[in-house]
Amino acid sequence: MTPEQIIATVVIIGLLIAMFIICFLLNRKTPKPKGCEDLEAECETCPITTCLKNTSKKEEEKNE
Amino acid sequence: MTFAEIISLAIGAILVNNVLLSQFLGICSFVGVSKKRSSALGMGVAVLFVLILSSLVTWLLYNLVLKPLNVTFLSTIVFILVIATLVQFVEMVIKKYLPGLYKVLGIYLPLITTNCAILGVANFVNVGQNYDLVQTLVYAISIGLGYILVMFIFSGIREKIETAPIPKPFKGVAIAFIIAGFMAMAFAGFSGIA
Repeated sequence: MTPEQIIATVVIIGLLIAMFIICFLLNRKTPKPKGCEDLEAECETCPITTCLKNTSKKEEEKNE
Repeated sequence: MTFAEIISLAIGAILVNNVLLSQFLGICSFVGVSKKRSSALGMGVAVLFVLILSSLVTWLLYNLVLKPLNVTFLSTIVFILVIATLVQFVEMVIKKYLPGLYKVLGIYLPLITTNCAILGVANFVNVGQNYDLVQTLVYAISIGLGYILVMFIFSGIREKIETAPIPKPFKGVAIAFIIAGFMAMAFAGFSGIA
């Protein structure tokens, strides 16, 4: 790998990560529109329980 | 690119090389969000939306930045970051300026970040086939339409099967996978189309 490629790699990845962080923070600050506060994706078969969209966890909490 | 080539590329992407039933990408959302037709359609439209934008952005990045700088080995990580950033940006814009659209598909946007169909298409058009911009857009739109088609059919079948006397061991995901298998076999019949 040439020094130019290394610099290009660092700059491109750094810029993209920075853009992602900025967009993520701005998205979190943006409030949801009225009537959309309780929307839920009807996703029921994914085994990833740490996912915020996993509804099986919420059902367990309701049953408890 | 001629009109015939565009049609051929579109039909190939929608039916012959369907992203769900031929390429087996995006299966998580296929099985997880297909219990109702309304949610399947919402997810499908969201995927189409993100596919078009991400294909466009990744094509521009790949051909205008990565190739000239000779760093095409970064394509996978760059595409992942671009897709994640794009989804955040799109969600923010829709929340602020298009609340009606957010109500329909906003909740599915975070699910699309990890949808491998999006990354698969970006890799295919840039690294695999090296399509030009028009071909990339046609392919992305067609893959999205193929996704919606299969999701809609699958969710319709699943809705009907809810009232069918399915044996207990097969209820739920088991019968869904069997249905998906039959659908994949049916779509394999399109592979003879040149």
